[in-house]
This record gives sequence, structure tokens and C-alpha cells, in this order.
Amino acid sequence: MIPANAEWLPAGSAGLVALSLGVAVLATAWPRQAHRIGLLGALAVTAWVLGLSALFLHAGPDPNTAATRIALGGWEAPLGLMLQLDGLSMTLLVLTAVVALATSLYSLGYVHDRIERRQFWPLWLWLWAGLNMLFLSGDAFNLYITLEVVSLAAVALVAFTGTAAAVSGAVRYLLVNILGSLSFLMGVVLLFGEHGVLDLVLLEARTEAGPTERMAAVLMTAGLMLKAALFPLHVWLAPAHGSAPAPVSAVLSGLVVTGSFYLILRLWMGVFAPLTTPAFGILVGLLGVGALIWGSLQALRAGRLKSIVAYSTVAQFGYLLVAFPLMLVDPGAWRVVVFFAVVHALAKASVFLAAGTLQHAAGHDRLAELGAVLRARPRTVFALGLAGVSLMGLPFSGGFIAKYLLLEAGLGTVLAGSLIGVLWVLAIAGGGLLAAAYVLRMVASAFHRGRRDVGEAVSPWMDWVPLGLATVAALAGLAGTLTLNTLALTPGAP
Amino acid sequence: MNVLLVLFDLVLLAGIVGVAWRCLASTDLFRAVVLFITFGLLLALAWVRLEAPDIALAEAAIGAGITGALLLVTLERLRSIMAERRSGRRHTPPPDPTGPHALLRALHDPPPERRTFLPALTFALVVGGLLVTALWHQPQSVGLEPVVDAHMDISGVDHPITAVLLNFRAYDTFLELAIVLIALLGAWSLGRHDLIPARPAPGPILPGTLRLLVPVAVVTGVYVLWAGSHAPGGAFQAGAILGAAGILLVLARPRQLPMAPGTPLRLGITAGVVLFLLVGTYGLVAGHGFLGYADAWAYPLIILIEVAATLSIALTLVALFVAGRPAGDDT
Repeated sequence: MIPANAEWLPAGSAGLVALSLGVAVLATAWPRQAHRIGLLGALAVTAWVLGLSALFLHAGPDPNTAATRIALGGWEAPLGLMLQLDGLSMTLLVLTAVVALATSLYSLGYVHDRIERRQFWPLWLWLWAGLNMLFLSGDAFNLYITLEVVSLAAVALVAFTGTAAAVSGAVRYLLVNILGSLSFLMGVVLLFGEHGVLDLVLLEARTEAGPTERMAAVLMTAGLMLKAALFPLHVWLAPAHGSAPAPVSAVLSGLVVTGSFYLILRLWMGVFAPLTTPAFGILVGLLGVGALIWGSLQALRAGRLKSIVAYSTVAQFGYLLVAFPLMLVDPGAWRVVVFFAVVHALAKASVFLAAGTLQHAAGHDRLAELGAVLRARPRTVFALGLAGVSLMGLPFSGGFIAKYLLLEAGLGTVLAGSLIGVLWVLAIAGGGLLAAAYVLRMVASAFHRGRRDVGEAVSPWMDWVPLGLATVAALAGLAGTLTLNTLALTPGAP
Repeated sequence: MNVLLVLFDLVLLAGIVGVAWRCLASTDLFRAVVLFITFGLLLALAWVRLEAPDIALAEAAIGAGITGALLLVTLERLRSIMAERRSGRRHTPPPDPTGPHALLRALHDPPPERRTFLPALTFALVVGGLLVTALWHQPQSVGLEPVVDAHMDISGVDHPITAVLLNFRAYDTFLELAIVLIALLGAWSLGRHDLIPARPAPGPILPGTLRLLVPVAVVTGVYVLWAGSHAPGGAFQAGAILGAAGILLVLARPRQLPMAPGTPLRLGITAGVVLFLLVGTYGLVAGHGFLGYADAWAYPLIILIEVAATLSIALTLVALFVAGRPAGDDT
């Protein structure tokens, strides 16, 4: 039974690509039914991903051999391009499915205008398909193209409301994205020129610490850092979020940014692994500390709800950077990093959806005037608080487990005799305190007197979906072992 | 090596850098756009010199031609909005807040300050220098040529570039088609365009030229598409040429253009991806792998996909030129 199952993995992965593309294409060709196609497609893609993950856990690849590789069109690398499915991509596919399904359900309530609906759903379904393809891609040039699909759809969605602020944020995001993409592409070109292959596995086998690899690593990492809004290249994030529709903000901060980070991690664990040095790790870690402090301070200063959430993304991604030097000491720590990114994506998406509900009800998101609106919506406030608990890392939430594991890895480096490890531990602990401060600021506005106006009624989807997703984020701690075990099924990774 | 050719290359290189610089430094947008088109044409020449005629064709048609037309029409719109604003009265129906006004305001950021110039130049020089160093160390790599050549007999076509684009790496090409489509969806999501009024021909030259140019462009486009199976050419270049013919027609608009109907237009712009995906999914079910063909069917299927893709690309480019989504799409 088990070998038969494993045989289905390649077809299941290619089928996932075909299905998510099919849904997007159908919605594009038939916009009048786009929301129905979108809803059915969201359910179908989510079911497919969950089925695939069950299959994967039941008969996943042996960690000692190669990952499941899928030759498209029957052409093996280096001639053709291959998809690859391993524990890392499977985890992110499941995360994407959960967040994207929640976003889709939320959008049913959020985008209700007949004409707007037709424009929104095709773009959103392309974005989702792009993310699925990004996580499954095993080819350097194909990664560039999937990144372009994701970026372009995301830019269009940021501009969706069409107001001057939205278009301005989108144009800025577009320019940043193009710069990031070209930088990434230049790195790909250098690698191809040196080694004559694009397949990641073949590249990994051929790379050594030469000048071309160093240059390619710098270009590709800088490009992806821009796209992932990693400190200090985060300037586009808050303006892009400021006027984007709520579901788009949720996906942008939850998934799109995580996608770029995934790629950085994937490249540095594979192709660029020979290039890592302790000094490089410390540099990245210091950037992370900077991100934690700067992002948190901006979140504490911001006057608008969505700006707080956007800056908290900058801060929280600091943890992922702080984890880099830890990974150099304890290579297994990368799984903790991914788990942290997963929990963050869930919590951040639900915070953005909850913020969107409040903004929709109040017609604005100025924190000082939201008091009555918040008090009238206990479910939304509870979602905000619950997801906030996970962001702060209070006990028993998913965030707690992730931060606990990070701290453990940090203390491990201190015990291993690294003096700078103390800084990482302090940063991880201090970042949690800062997170508590800005999360409480959001919730505390419920106690402001402000105006009496409780705002407009919102659709039940917008009321319940953030709460559901926040619950998933809080309970993600229970799935910690499962996630870490899934991630362990990544061949070649420590 | 021929001395004259070396001389030509040097002049070409100097020209590319010089035109690029002038384009970036120009404060007049119209001038910058014209220089950008020139830059694209010089770049196409450079690709010819690098013996990459496929890229040269694409660069000339898409990089210089279509992009140039898109930039010019954007400029034209910005100008008419500015003029409207300056005159202080609106002779058109009130523009919707999602239209080009918003874009104009968004683009109207203060010009970059002088003092950013030096750091930017230093940064560019450092990155450029590092790139040159890295390229200097690169071995003479043969890339994938031998592997591709070894598989040409079962690829279904005779031109290696087409074999790579539509067979070996068809997935990438499919996604490139999708990206063009997503760009259009993004443009459409921002607003609607209204009926384009007829524009009286300014003289006998324009209609006469059009009468000659459009049929020639159509024939050229179809030829480039057909040639793709054995020589440089293919769907993207052919689509760009046909799209250019369509843009010429829109530009001249000798008569009132009919409102684009919603459903047929949607089907037209998605024809390429729909057909590609259907064939690809059939490949997955039939056991040739996703986006794979049975060897015997490779040639007809590739031609079929290329025809649909050409149609979609041409329609998409014209639609991008017209900008907003057609009113027929909202009914």
C-alpha cells in the first residue's frame, strides 16, 4: 500500500499546480461567475493540499534520499524543469492553503460589489496559484517567473481600490518588486553562466565558494530581502499595506512576504550553503536586531491600526534574521525558523483581517477614534487579542512554542561559548516585550472613549473568519511536533 | 576578426550606454520615451551581434515597439489630464476617482534631490564593477546546447529555441503568457474606458499608410508565427507584430470603434492559457507529465498552442494600449 501511495506524490503535486492554475484561468475567462468559481476552487485546492499532505506524511520521501521530484512534460533536468516536493515545501503549501481559504471566505463578505468582485477574484486566484507554484518550484529560472506571477498579481491587488494613496503605494511596491526581481534574475544568470544548469539540485552539487557564487548570492539575497521587506529594505511595506484591501494585506504580510523568505532559506540551505561564514551570520543577526527594535518602535508610534500591524511584520521578521547565526551553530534550528514563520503568517493574517473588519465598519482605521467600534464587535476584538497573544508569544499559543524553541537554540549558542549569543537571547526576549506593547496598544483602544459611532454592520464572514484564523494561530502550538516532523522530511537539510 | 565589425560593436556599445544615459538624465518625459525606443532598437542590434536573433526580434517588437507605444499613449493621457486641470474646467464627464487622475497624483512625487546623485552613482559603479569581475572569472560554459540538440528529433519542431520554449520548458512559457494576462487584469481592475470617438484623419498620408501597413503587418505576423517551428520567430514576436497592427488601427481610428464585447474579448485574451492548460492537463492524465505531449502529437499541438497564444498576446497588447476595461465587460 505504501509504495503505491508514494507513486501518487508526483502526480499529486503536478495536479495541484494544474488545479490551482485551472481555477485562476476559469475565473479569468468567466468573470461573471468568478466569486463562485473562486469559492469552489478555494475549497477544492485546500482539500487537494490537505490530501497531498496526508499522502506525504504517510509515504513521504525517505530523508536520506532525494526529494520527490516531478519532471514536467516528462523531461528530466537539466533539459526540462522539475518541481520538487519536500517537507519544507509541503509545510508552506499547507500554510498557504489555510490562510488563502480563510482570505477567500473573508473576501466573500469584503468584496461584495458586483463589478469589483469580477476584478478581484481572478487576480487573487492567480496570486494563490503563483504561491503554490513558487513553493513547488525546483528550478532557478522558474523560481524567477513564479516570483513575477506572485509580485504582479500582488501589485495589482494593492492598487485595487484605485485611490491615489493605493496607486501610489502600488507603484512604489511595483518598483521595489522589479528591482528585487532583476537583482534575483541577475544572480540566476551568473549561476547559469558558471554551471550551465538551472536545476537547484544540480546547481547545489556544482557550487563551491567562488567569486561567481558570492556575487550571485549577494544579488539574489538582496533582491529577495527587498521583496520580503527585511530590515533595512522594508520601506515599501507600510505604504503598500496602508490602502490595500484587507484580504490583500493579510495575504501580503502572511504569505507573499513569507514566500520570499522561504526562498532565501531554501537557497542558503542548498545552493549557497558553502558560502556561509560566522561573520556573515552575525551580520544578518545584527540586521535582525535592528529590525526588531526599529519595527517595534514604528509600530508603537503609528497612529493607524493597519500601520501598527504592517510595522509589526517588519519587527517579527527580525526574529527570522536573528535565527540565522543560531542556525550556523545549531543547523537543525532552521525548522524552528520555519515553524515561527508559519505561526507568524497565521497570526498576522488574522490580525489584518480583523483590522479590515474594523476599518470597514468604521470607515477609517485611526486608532484614537476606534473605541466604540471595537466595543461593538467583541468577536473581532477577541480575534485581535488571540492573534496578538500568538504574536507576543504568551504560553500555549503557537507563538510561544516558536519563541521558546528559538530561545532554546539561542541559549544553546551561549552554552557553546559564543558571547554574541547573549545578544540574540536578549533580542528574542526583548522583542516579545515590544510586541506585547504594540499588541496591547491595538486592543487597548477599545477602552478609549472616542466617538459614540459604532460603525456600519459587517457581513458575518468578516466577523467570524478572523476569529477562526486567530484560533488556528493560537492552537498551532499543538501542531508544533507535527510541523517539525514534516520539516524533517526535507532531504539534504540538517 | 574583422576590424570593421569590432569598430561597429564599439560604436554600438557607446551608443547604447550614451542613449541610456540621456534617457535617464532627460527631464523632458517625451524626449525620454523617444530615447527609450531608440535604446530598445540599439539593444536589438546588439542581440543580433550576439547571434541571438530570437531575442533581437522580441526586443525590437516588444521592448522598443509595444513598450514605446504604451509609454507614448500614457504620456498623451497625462498631458491631456494636465491641460484639463490647468484650464480648470472639465469638458469630459467627471472622471472616476479610480482613473488616470489617481495615477498622475501618485506619479507626481518630488523630483530626486541632487545630493542622492553621488551615492547612487557610487553604488552603481561598485555593483557594476563587481559584476564585471564575476563575469571575468566565468568559464566558457556551453550551457544546455548539447542536451537540447540531442533531443531535437523528438521535440516536434526544428528550431531549438522553440523546442525549449514550447516543449522542454513549456511551463515557463505558460507562466509568461499568464504574466501578460495578469498585467492586463491589473490594468482592467483600475477602471473602465468609454467609447473611443472617431478621430478625423489629419490628411491623406495616415489612412494611405495604414492601408499599406496593416495588411503587411498581418502577413509578417503570420509568417513570423509559422517560421517559429524552424527558424527564429514564434508566438511572442508574432503576437507583438499583430498587436502593433491593432494599435495602429486604434490610433488612426478611421471610424467609430465599436464597443468591445465582453465575453468574446475575455475568451480571446484567455485563449492561449486555456488551450495550453487543457493540453498540459491532458498530458498529465495521459501519462506524458504535466505540459507534456506524446511525441507524435508534439508538432500539431505546439502549432495549435502557438496560434492561440499569438491571438491572445495580440489582443492583450491592444487592450493594454486602450487601457481601461471595455464597457462591455461590466454588463
